[in-house]
Amino acid sequence: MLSMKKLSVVGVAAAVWLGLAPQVQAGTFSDTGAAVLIWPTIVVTEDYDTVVQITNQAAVPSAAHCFYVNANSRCTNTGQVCDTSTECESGGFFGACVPGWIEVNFDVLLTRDQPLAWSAAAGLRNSDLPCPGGIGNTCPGSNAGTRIPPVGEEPFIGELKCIESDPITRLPIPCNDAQANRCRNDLEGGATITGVVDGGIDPERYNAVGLRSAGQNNGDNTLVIGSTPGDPTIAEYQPCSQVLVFNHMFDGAVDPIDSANVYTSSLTLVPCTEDFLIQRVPHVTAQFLVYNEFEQRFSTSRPVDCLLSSDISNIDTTQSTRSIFSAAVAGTVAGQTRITGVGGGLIGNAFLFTFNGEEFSGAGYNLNQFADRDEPDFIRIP
Amino acid sequence: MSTVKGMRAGVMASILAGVALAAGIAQAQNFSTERPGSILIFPKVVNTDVNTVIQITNTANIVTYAHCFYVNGASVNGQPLWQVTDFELALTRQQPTHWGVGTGRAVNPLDATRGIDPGLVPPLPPGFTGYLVCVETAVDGGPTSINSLIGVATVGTINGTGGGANAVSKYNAVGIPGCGDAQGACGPTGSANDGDNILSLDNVEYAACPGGLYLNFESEGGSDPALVSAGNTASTVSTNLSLVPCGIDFENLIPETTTLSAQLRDEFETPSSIFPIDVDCYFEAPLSAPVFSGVFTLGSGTFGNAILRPVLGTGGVPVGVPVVGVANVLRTADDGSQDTAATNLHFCTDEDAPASCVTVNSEIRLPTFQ
Repeated sequence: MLSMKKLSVVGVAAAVWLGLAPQVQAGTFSDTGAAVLIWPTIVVTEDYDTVVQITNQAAVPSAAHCFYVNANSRCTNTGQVCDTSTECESGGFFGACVPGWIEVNFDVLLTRDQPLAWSAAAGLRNSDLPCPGGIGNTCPGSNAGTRIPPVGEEPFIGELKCIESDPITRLPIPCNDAQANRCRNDLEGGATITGVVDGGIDPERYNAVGLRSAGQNNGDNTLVIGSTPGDPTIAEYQPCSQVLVFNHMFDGAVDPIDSANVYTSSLTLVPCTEDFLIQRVPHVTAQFLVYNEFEQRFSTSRPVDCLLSSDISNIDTTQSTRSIFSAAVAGTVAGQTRITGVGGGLIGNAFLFTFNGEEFSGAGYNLNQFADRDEPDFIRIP
Repeated sequence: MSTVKGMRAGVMASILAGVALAAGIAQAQNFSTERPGSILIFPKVVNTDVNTVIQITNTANIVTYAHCFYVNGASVNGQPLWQVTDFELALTRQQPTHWGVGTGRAVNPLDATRGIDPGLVPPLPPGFTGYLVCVETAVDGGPTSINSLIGVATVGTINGTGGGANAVSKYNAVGIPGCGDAQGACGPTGSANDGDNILSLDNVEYAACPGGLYLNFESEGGSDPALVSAGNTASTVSTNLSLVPCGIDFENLIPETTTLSAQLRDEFETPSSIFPIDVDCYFEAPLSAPVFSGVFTLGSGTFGNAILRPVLGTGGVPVGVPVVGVANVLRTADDGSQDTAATNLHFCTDEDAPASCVTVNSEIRLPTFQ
């Protein structure tokens, strides 16, 4: 039996190893090709539209089976899109504003090395395809079979997922890196959310988050993302990350250049697990550990029902000046927030906004990440 | 042999070794814009009419240190200025920090910049255009492979309260992981950091350089579909590209040079290419620059994709080192209002033709102060 002294020595050694050992990289990628792409933020409003861009990195045609997820919240009494229950008044009575989850799927067929882009508000009809196929097609390949619908309503907030798939079965292509049929990671993507507001323009760009193949896929409708060590479940895609690392400015902080502009940030999170087959709304709890520049730590939690999109100072409270994400509370300009999903993995992106008293300007960027989840996530498709 | 020739010969030997080594490594692509690393590269740092705010965070539960180098990549009469300014940072566990590059950051707990000052960060002179490299070190200044640094840069035109231009964009720093050991980020070839001043980007000490970059772009000078749908029929899009060679010699102050080619394809599968694109210390230019000969000008509203990689020599071996970079896209509406959006470039990992993004070994040499 180990004595307490030995246990302490082992504990210290383990702590030192954990602190000093090189950190193994996690499994999602926004900077290289992947087999599944996730755009966490697709926005269409009266002032904003999202241009989605997807590229086939392969020298052969690729197909993607894609899903728009409409995450608009709705009033239980009127069915109208809402942000809060105060918008759900009808005849003197108030309904509840509850998160929604509506999925629409479509196919994208890409020719070799082809980039393709479309407006989320307008979609892409046959006549607008760069390589429509048939008579008049000037390309060596064809996008025939591609039809991208516009998002279902305005305003719209939601996500987009595209899965590299067989164009006939619309399921992942069976593969095994150990055999001749190597798994493919051919897709890369990005999105530019552009607003025309009060005469000014505001483009915000981020890269789609990718899940890369784990080296084998049985081609069924359940995509296994990561696996538990020792569990017979075989991972088909590399795992989602255990921790998302969000480098941000605290809300209300003034910029360090001229001490005049005010920073705010917003964050979007979506679950790594989703069930498009039975339309079950995924539920994950996001735990936030917030560090300021004094190394002081705060924490909060927030459920992620389908999609969380919020100004960071409204994550933990409705009174933003009292938030742990407020510069007035944190006391510094810059912060680090570590986000851990409980009950499932999380994927996200962030936006920074500056306001100079007259004009807003926004900038999108991708989150960092740390370590792999040691439990699998699943995407089930029809 | 002169130092310059020696360095170049070393790089060439490393390239050949890297090609051979990479052949046996399925997943040796570990440069990342979303994971902690032991070396951070911010490819676009400016202090002109546009300014930059740097954020660096220690993601580890122990204190860490960094030795940082600003490199002024401006050219004078066609020659790179190659002025290097270095400084050191100390970050407590999980500590984020920030500074504006035009003002730097003083070590003064009583000043208006709240937080634990990470060290004296010098202000950059007006007109600076270049990049920032930060190398994670131990307390004695020797490089380590703890992989705890992440970084973000905000580049923007911010003209103060009450109006004026307000256009910001944001990108993640490129992180290069230290390999650590055979279970580390580089896989079975990984080994411990030897602590000397030569940081070998070879999948043994640090990750090797990715063979190429994918640039997704909208037709240079063309219209933007989102702005057009909002009624801005005369909108224009212009992409500015910033590139840094994957290999730097801070010891001998020799600007790294490399020659790139770009293979393009548009939405209509139309292929085109441009060669050579010379990168001498640093490269920054819009896609409308003469060096690109107009190949990035497609039909208005058309999207394209390009692979930027070193020119291939005999046997498909890259001649020179690859680059890391970032693209910043300027959109202009009918009324002249403008704003920018930056994007990290995707790494090209496909070593087979036609992509031919062959992993390349290189090195970063730190100064040795005795």
